[in-house]
Amino acid sequence: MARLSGVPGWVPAVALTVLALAVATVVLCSGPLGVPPADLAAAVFGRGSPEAELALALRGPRLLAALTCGAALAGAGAGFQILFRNPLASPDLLGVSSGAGLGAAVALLLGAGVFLTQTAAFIGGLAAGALAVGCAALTRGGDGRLALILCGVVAGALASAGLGLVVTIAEPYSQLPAITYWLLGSFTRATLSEAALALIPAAAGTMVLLWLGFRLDVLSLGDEQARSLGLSARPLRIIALCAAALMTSAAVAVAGVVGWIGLLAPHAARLVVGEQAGRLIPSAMATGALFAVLIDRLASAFGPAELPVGLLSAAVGAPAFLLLFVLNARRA
Amino acid sequence: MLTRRATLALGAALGLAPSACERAPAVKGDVIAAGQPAALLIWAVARERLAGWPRKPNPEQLSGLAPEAAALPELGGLAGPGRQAGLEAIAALHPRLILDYGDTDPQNVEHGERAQARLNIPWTLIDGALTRIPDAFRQAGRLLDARDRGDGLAEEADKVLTRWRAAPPGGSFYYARGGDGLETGFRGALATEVLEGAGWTNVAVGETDIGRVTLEQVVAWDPEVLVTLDEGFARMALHSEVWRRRRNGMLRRILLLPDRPFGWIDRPPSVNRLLGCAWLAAPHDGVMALAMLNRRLYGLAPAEILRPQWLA
Repeated sequence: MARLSGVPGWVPAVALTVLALAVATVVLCSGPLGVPPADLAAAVFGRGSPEAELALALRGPRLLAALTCGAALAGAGAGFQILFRNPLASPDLLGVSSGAGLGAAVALLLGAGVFLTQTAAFIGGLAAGALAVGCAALTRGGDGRLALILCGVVAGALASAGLGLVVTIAEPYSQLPAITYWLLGSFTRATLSEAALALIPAAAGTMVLLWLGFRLDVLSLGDEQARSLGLSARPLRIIALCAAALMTSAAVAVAGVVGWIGLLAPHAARLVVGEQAGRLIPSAMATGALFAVLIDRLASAFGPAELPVGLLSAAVGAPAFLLLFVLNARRA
Repeated sequence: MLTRRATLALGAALGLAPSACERAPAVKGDVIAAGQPAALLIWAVARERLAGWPRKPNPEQLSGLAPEAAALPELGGLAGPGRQAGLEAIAALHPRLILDYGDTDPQNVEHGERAQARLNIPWTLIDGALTRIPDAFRQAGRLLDARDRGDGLAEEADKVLTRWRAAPPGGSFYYARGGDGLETGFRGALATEVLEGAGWTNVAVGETDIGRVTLEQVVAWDPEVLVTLDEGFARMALHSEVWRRRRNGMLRRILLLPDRPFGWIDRPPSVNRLLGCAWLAAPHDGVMALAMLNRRLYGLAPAEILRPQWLA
């Protein structure tokens, strides 16, 4: 049941989005270069000092990547959790993150540049998702969700094995550090155009999930219930999974493997807006974007040498998830 | 529009304001090393220009460097292993140059060009090949306005490498890395280049550069010498029948090479490897030549230079 039953469905999502953007604005205005906000604002319109232009060029893409990836991972996580009626479902359920990691690692092993690496990650993520969905489609009858979960585990395991092989044979002085750094996640490597490019698949996946809306709620009740309400469960589920995989691949391609956002943000949003897909997905996306911006800020707070956001998201996300899980369980 | 004070107040409330350690550290040098190999090159040629360490040397390593090394901050790297520096934090130091030293493959070149475009700071990648160390000194000398020092080091490196190439061939060896000795540099690896270039034969043949092997494989390769930088492993192997016994019943020797302040053949793959070359070129020479080279590279002539030890 929704926690804010008297409030229109769009209000929590908008409020959380405004909060995420407000925090992003504060983050945009602070940093080691120490540019005054007024100068930075002038730089947005091309009239700032060279220092402000530089600060904007460095902070802007980073913030855009954090907002996009946080929202995409959280939206995908919410979609997975609704579809599978499983609070532990996350964007990596179909092996998408592992597949994207393998794609990037292979590209780095072959000497690819940043854009090719991101493309390979995107393709790797989608390939792992397609493998899981394709294998699950081979099973006729039975519980389709269970087949998907099992096939997702298989796809993830295969991708992880491949990744292990790449790490083993990578040249240790330049390739291995590059692969490790990529796998630990960072919002800093994307340029503005690359971060903006990730918006396209992330937005497309979001539109599909939002369009599915109440159908996701029905799907979460099981195939029999969906059929009794006139919905064809299997194609709808595949469409939803493809949308979530698209969002996850886009995020991992830009930022590397940043875990926990897709698991944590939907739980946090659920506390406020409840289970309904139409409310939960946008609210989870805003929460995920906020979490990603805060984590990225934390990554640069310990000196010139930064901490990988993948490590921090796990260090902060795991205890926060536990807390939210307990709170949700008590309120259920 | 947000004022700076209002922004900082809001930021502080949210824990977002720049923390003391996030603000750009006070640095004297104006050149950033992209990685530890570049830091050692800059340290040797013009240490007063080095803004900070990509990874700060540990106290043991610092004890082998000129005292000012301890005062340099850790900035993180822009290439290679270890914690990565924030691009904005680097920009806030207003360096004149970012210097990288290593493979000049297209991936590294693109990495440098990308960072240069984003930071608007010149980025120069110097070829890190062992045999091109003299060129690296000359190039670094010109870039760092220390031409005399760069040329002097290049001349010395040229002499060392000429003698190293003509060194009497050594025996077959297995390079044992890590505490258990089961990580190795395969034939042709950067890690074993110093030994192989001096005519030693690396028994470990593999497809990769560095990899793990089994003890049974090492026994099957039957090297004459175990080479290591790890004193713990050397002591363990010395008392291990399996590690020591050769297939002909003889005992194999263990060569413990110095790793302070940096490895003589490896770790990191930078100008530190010249010491290994110098020793291999004339293993029976006195310590004076090595001490002088050590002083030129690190700014300090140790009271007692660490020498390779044959444990047998």
